[in-house]
Amino acid sequence: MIRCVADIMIKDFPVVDALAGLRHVQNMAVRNEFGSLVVMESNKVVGVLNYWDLVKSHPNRIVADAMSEKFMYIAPEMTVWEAKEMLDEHCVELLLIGNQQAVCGMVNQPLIDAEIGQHRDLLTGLYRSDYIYYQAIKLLDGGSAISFIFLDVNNFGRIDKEYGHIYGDKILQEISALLKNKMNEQTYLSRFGGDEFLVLTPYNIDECCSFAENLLHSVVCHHFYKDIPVTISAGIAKKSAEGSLEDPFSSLLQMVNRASLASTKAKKNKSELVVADDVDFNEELGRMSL
Amino acid sequence: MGSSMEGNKKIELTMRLSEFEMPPMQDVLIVGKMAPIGAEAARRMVDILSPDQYMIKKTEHPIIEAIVIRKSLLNMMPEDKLIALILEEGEKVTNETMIVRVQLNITILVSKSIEL
Repeated sequence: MIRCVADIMIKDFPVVDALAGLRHVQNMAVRNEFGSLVVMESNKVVGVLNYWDLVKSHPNRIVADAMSEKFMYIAPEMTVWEAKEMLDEHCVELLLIGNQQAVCGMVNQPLIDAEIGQHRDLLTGLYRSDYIYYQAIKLLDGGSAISFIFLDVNNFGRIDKEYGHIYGDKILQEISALLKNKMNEQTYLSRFGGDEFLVLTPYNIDECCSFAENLLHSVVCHHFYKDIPVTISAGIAKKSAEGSLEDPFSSLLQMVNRASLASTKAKKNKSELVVADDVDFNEELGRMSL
Repeated sequence: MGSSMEGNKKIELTMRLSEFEMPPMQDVLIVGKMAPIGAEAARRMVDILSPDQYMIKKTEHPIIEAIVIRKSLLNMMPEDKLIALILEEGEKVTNETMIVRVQLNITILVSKSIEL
């Protein structure tokens, strides 16, 4: 499930008056560790103050002369991924959850980075599937078609057994680098599980198939560590731009599941690539909930 | 063995009286990035003594953080030209820990010929 800022926000955030002296705030910072302070005047947020502001400003100044005005208000249901994009895009230091009348929490860059870091795979450096789901929902909201390519390394267990897990890990790192290299601005890659990768594209079925074939081809043509032979199978599941999804997140999980089953079928049939049948995801979810 | 020292104590006092300048700044204050008083504090100070007469102009300058300027000066010549001039001259005598007070006299010369 994609986490939102309300799940990770700091509710008990430190507040300081705009006319307070910096020396007093510096002493406060020594006594209590904090990342960022919210600056208020006449019950209104007027700025933010972080450690760097405290270090670079003369201690005789008032807070109003050291603070920055780089903050924005966001809704509590905003996802952590959107918050990350907002921080980077607008170069703000702090996001306040709520509005000018009522602030119920705050998130800053270190907090968002720590949360995002949990969705990054340490072995390959790729994001995990949460990132893909967020991008998929964004594409759906924009009225785009989406398709998932589920990639699965053939006989990876045998590679682990025959060459050892260290070499198995090296193979996974090489595959990640190869796939990452093939991505463009419209496509997204994540490590789904042990030897499985998930790619999101905004393409129709023909474009998606040729993109997937290109990925398979790049793996087949690559000379892996110690010349270990590696092949992968791919399964594709798609949703056209027409029709909206009643429960987008659950439908995405269904799509990924169908792509994963298609890749298993490809493995069994030794056919490299299988496209899952079209399905009405709203209907399928309805059947599942019965 | 006890010894006592004889002595006396005097206090000398000097007093200098002068009129308090109102407001305590003239036309412009140039505020360095590491000055002990920031532009906002300076503006609030003069705002209490001379309400609505001064404004802050933040700058993108390596050592000067902002200038606090008398608003009426901006009616006499274009803002960008005046600020550029203040920065150009100010940076020659300012470092980032200083606050420099500037007196600025603007004289407008008008020459017209009228056909009779």
